[in-house]
Amino acid sequence: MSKNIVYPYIPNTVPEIKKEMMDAVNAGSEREIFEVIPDHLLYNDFDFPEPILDEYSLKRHTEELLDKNANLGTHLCFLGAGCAPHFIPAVVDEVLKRGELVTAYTSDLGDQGRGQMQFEYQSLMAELLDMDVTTFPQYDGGSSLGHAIRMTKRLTGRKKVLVAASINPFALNVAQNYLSQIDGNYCEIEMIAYDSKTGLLDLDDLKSKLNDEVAGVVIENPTFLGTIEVNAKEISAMAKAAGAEFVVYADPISLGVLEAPGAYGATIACGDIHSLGLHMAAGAGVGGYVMVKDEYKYAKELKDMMYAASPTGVEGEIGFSFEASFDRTSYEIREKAAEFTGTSAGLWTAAAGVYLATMGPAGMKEVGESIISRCAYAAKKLSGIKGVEIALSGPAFKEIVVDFSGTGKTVEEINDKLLEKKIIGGYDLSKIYDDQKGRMLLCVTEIHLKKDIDKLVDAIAEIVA
Amino acid sequence: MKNVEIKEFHQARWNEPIVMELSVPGERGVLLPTLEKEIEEEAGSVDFSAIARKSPLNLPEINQPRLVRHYSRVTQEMMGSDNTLGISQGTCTLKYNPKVQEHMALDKRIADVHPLQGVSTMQGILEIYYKTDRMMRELAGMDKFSFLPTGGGQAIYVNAQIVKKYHESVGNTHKTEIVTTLHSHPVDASASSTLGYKIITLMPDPVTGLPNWDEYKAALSDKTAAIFITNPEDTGIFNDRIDEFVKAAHEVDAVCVYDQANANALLGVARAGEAGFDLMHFNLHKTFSAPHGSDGPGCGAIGCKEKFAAFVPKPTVEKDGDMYYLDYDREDSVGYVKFYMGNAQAVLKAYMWCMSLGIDGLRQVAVTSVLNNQYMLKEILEKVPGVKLYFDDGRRRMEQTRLSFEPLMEETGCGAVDVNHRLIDYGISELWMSHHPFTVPEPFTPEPCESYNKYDLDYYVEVLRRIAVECKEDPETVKTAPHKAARHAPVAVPETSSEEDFKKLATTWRAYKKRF
Amino acid sequence: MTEKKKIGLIVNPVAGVGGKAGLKGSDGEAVQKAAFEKGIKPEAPDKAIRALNVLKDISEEIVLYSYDGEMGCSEAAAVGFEVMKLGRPESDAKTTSKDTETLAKALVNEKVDLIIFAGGDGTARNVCGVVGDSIPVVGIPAGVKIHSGVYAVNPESAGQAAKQFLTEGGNIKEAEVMDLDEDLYRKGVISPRLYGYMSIPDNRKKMQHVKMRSVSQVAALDYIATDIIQSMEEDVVYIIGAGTTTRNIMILLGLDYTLIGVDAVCNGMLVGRDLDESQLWKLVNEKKCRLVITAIGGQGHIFGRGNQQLSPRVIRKIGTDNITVIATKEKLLSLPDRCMLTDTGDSKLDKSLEGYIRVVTGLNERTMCAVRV
Repeated sequence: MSKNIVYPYIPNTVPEIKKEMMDAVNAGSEREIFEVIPDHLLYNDFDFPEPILDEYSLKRHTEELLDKNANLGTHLCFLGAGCAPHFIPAVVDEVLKRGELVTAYTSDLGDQGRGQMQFEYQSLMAELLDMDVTTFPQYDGGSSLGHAIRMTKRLTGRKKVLVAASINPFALNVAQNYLSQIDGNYCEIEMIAYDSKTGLLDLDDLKSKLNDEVAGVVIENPTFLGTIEVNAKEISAMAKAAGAEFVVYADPISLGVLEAPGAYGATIACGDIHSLGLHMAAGAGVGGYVMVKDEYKYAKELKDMMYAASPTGVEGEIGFSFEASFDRTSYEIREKAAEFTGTSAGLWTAAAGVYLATMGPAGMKEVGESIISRCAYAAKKLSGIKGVEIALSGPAFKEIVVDFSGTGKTVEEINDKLLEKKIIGGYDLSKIYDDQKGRMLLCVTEIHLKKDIDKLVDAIAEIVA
Repeated sequence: MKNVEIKEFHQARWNEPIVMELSVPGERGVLLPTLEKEIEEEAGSVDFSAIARKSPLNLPEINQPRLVRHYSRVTQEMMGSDNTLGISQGTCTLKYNPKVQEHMALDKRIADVHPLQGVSTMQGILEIYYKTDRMMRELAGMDKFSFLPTGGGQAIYVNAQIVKKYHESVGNTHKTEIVTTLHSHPVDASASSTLGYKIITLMPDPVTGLPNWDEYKAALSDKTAAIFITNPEDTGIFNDRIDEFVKAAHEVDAVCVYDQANANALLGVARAGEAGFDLMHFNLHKTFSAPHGSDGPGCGAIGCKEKFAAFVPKPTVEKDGDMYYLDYDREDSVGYVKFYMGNAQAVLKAYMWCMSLGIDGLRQVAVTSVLNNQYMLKEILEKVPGVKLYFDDGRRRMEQTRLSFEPLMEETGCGAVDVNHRLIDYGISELWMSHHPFTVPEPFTPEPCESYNKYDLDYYVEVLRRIAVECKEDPETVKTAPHKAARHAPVAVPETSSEEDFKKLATTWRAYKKRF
Repeated sequence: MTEKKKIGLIVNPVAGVGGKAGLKGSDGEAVQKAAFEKGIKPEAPDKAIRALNVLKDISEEIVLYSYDGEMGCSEAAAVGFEVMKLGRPESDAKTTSKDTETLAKALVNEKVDLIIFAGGDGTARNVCGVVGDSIPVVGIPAGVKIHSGVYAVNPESAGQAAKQFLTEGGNIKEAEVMDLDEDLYRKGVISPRLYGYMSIPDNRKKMQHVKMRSVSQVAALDYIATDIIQSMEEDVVYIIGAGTTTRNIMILLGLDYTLIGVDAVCNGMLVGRDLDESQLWKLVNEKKCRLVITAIGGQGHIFGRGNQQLSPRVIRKIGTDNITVIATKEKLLSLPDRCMLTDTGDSKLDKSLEGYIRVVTGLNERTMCAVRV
């Protein structure tokens, strides 16, 4: 290969300029530029694919690879399990394409627009959740859950955390991983059972496990299995009576119709902002939030940066700063910070902010109502198929548990057949729960029109017949 | 090449209201599919009244054109590498993020793919993971990669977990300490201590800026679980004895972890493997051209030697015959650190970037970024008054340089913070100074990576020179900068986290209305 | 042969007596008397002799000027120097700050090339008041309070600095003369004040950094204190040295403390407050003790500055393995050559303290730092 390629992304590969600069720094060769690196640390025997230098061919090459991916353009998708197909307003995609935003790093005074967007995100989330203080996002709902659980221990000085068994298992996995330490776990987790018929938390089980050693009670609402936790207020009161923090892992897209966690006693809300305008993107479209009330003892335990607004020196002008109580974070105090912070998912808070502003109160209400109704419709239609049952009787949001054990077919078999019909079926719960054989977690959202649901129902009816 | 001519600049200044203030009752930003009549009828009413929303939902009601105007204006008030020179922000490697990659990442063939859909339906993205893994192995001299961590911090955290897991696997119960250097990224320390490790920090030698060998030897002991080292450090200084440091750590059975956040200087030139490291990470969002996205999501790709391969987080992407698959059946893995399969869009971008350059192009990235830095450093020291180079023993710097405005401060009373703010008035993004605590006074750390041409560098140096002159001749203008930014500095945002200061903070619009 | 260099010598013989007696400063007759009654021997003359010893090999090239008696002549004589006597203190029995000032005045009149003086911050103030920056000075640290940048790190390096300046010439620079209000100091308030500038040889390595005013680093100090408290063992006495860094341990334990004295804690209770050398000696002989100290400001002394109660015998009894040094990273970074210094007055002990130590700089956090003599 010619050594004299001028790379579009590397302008100073123009030979004359490179030579001029090398002369300026008294380097006779590339080796001299790296003269501080001793010979034995250099390497030049790379086994690397041939490059695709031109943009057109690179695009073609990549497209050929991506063509192998089923996607919402090629398939109907009823798969959720914490990441779901949702309607994303074009305004959101438009803003997320803006180069100034995508390529910014977030500096203080030069990126006031970035400050405004994060401040707006924080403000909108406060309204949605009826909470007050949130930060830059965490990596995903799982890491936000881990952060929330760590907070409960620091807040109470207690070490045991009760977690609803109906919590998102992917989030719990990540959270548990985040609790492991060299000298045992940061806190101990004990699961609280849920009622196998309704999907609602087993309050007796909670009661028997609650005591003055419990740092926090964690529920998901709506649960991973789609159940709307109608007893949330009672759970909140029980946690409070035991002196425990009440952590609610909430899907923000549900909060136009479901009560805000802050309004029913959550002391810490956390979860994933995926549903607020993020593409699934093979799992890239996730980001965590943790939000607390306007109380110092909670706010000071938040590990990530946050923006604050205040007047500037100019009459009527507002300015933004991420220096807000910056000394909590590990950037400032390194290992003394209780946890660590770093690059997380900043761009996604911009998406979530735009989404909430675009949807407005009416949009959020309608999307919630739509999801509930479509779930109910799908459940009703599916339960009409012989051998197919809806496993949980509680009101459902976004997910329904469909039991196929009466059909003699496994979920895997049904999903394989659905795929042939260009339908991506629901999540096979037997993959993670031993007691959920034959059960599928089917995701129905606002994007599933009647004809889509009917197509699914017809396909299943045909497959199990 | 033409002479540098400084252009008059003013950032967009819209004084755009907070989005809540745009609300007009009744306006809609977007409409949703209405419920089909049959669905309404069949679904009936679902009773969740006990938990139905009763608290007011004070989201704004805004028409779509106004929304778009709002966000167009607000995003104009930002300085990304798309619209400004990102040279100021050392350690962050603000390079060009190729548009073809950005466009591809928004294509529905990746953007609208569910992470849990069967592997047979996502062979494309899995192949990209697999092939990117192979390229990273070559570039790092490692035996296995994982793309699950979403940022550099998380990569360090996961590497610390692998260290923990390794020691558990060989029955080491006495390994409680991690040795790092003050010039390594602070997350090296904080992520490790989150796991309960005791952190032993080495101060830079006041002459060389590098960790002192005798001090390092004194820090190592039987208790040392790992060393976490950045090289080149954030000062741009390369530790040429790095392999000896690694060897000494191995002698006490410590794992050697290489924080390669500063890898831009070394692509295609030197590898972690040759230096003897066991674990390392690359930042795909810095070094491999995925954008910073205003603080993520990025990807901290962790690489390890075969000895540690069993411990990497799950799932991993493997290949069986012609079929790529996700391997969850990994008994010794540190476990699940991230939802699903991590930041697939960042992996896609890194893949495309590596493919567009090949090994020769990647080497030119390193050559050019180091050459750019050496050239710009020389120009700064020659032309910009009031700049001092600490740890200057005449050795060449790598891809960035920690400089000091100490003489400028002494002479004019204006320091790095003032220059920083004034840079904005020239349309250049702010300085990245240094992590805390500062090891040189009035620090700044420019990183002129390969995306900038000679004219950009000359322009940058001329702006710095001008500001330094202004510091002497018109310090008031510098001290009150920025004057041409979208907004002025907020005057009442306290930086400490005391209770008293917290009460002064408005982190939401509802609090703002209460407090101001 | 070139003309001999003229060197002025001022020794404040009572400097430092307050420290050994646990009295925090030696200013004022009452304090000196109290120290004297405790049987404390002045150290300044010995330290001056140590510095002058370094100058012995250039004795042919210099002439010393001083007062008769302990203010210079007797020390110079002990090393074998002949001294041009410019007078004598008003009273041989007890010299005063006025004597320092009149001697300084005489030296200015004599147009000496360099003034070497031994004392503490009070002495530096007195010299400064007369000399200002008109004549370069070298300070031999001999007092309890050493905040002034005019002092060398120890007597030997003072001698070295003087020698180098006299033989090689070289640059001079201004150095601050700082002092505490001693009355406030005894009440536990550290309030350094700038009293003026003097010229010193520009020899970064040997001269003392000016003590930094502490910046607010509440969190960092809390984490350090938490680390220490968490590791406290039952029935072990923790001797807590002077300073704002160590003070936080006492605050977090909710105990009374002396900012510039040495306190002792056992099982979370105060078992000794503002202990002097003999009380400490008694304590370390009765109980298992550990010592928690910090480096003093920008100078980096862990022993020999403001904590003379911690005498060599006390330190030896505690054992070097039982000494924990605490400091913020910022403080460590500000140390000249990034190392800490020990100057216990017992060079063998100092030697044994040399090497790299793990300074507690946060919760579960250590920073390596060199200790040198």
